Amino acid sequence: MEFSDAELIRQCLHGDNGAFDVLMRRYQRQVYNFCYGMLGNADDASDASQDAFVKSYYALDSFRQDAQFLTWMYRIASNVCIDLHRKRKRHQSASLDDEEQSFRELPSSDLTPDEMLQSCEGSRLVVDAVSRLSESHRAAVAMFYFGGLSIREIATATKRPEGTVKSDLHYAREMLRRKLEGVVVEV
Amino acid sequence: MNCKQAREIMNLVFDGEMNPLEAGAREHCGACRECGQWMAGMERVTECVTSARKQLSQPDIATLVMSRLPARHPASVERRRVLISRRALSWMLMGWAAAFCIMVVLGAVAFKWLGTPIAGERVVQSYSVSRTIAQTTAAIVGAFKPLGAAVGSVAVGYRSDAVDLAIALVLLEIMILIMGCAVWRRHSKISGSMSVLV
Ligand SMILES: [Zn+2]
Repeated sequence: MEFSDAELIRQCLHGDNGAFDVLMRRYQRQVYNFCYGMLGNADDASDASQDAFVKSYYALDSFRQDAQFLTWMYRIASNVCIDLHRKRKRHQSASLDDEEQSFRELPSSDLTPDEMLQSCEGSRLVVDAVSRLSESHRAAVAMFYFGGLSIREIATATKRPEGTVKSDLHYAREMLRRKLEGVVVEV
Repeated sequence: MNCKQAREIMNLVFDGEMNPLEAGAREHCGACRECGQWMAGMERVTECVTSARKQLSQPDIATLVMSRLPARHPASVERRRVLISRRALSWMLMGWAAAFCIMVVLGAVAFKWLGTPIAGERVVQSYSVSRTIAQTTAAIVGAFKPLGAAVGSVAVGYRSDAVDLAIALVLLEIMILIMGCAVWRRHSKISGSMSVLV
């Protein structure tokens, strides 16, 4: 018998941690993929998704039953990733806000687009490029492409209007297209 | 349809929207070289991201997280602590209710046995109903004033067994009080240890 998210949360709040384990296994793939999209590497994605689940566990009694657990989870994971990304950036002493500058520093590939696709070079480049987007653009791309959320779900998770999410996604997609085509972005 | 309109519509299609103008936009991108290149680039982005996602290995996050969690959710521990406190309180109330009943019964028995109110209250002798009420009242009051009864008994020269009984009641009250405190402390300790667990 498969319990609903709300039932699993209720069981966990009554002392059954096994219910939270089931809940995590239901969504760990999507949350991890999203974190990977936000951070661009597997180790950070693993750390961030663990932290996000631990945070959600302790905040479980504040979860509103009328909301979707996954959307709520993405909001927590998004904040965790942004914090982690900021810490990492601080270490690298790079400017966070200069998205265009960051794109210029990104190494381009000598391969043609088709060769890139076949050799996974394109995947590496696009992941690297996504991690250099601004926070809102990165969150939109990570939720849409890596997490598999719809525009409406992203709007709910980020508490932003759907139009803003679309505009972020269009801009980010355009940046990624230019990167893959080897176009150096001019300010 | 111009280039800008075609790209706007195709962007919405890439967002996952159904659009009635999609066919027209695709037709434009097929005919316009620049928009055709633009669309191929957009499709490549989708392919690369999809490919990157598919290549991801999936670590067992749930197992890693479970090792970082306490045995029970804090909210459930708090709920349990409140339940224990309520149970302790109900035990206390039941204990005191039982003590009250015992004292009343003992007081009443003592009154009947000795034939005089052990607290030294005046008794109405005329009617049996009022006498019974007065006797019971005296018994209850007497039961709650064993020390006073003892002193009163000595002062007015009551029978010596009345003094013995009054002293026994004092000792009984002290014992019940100590037992009540012990029960309360025991439950407080359980509540405390649950809090430490958190
Ligand atoms: Zn065109």
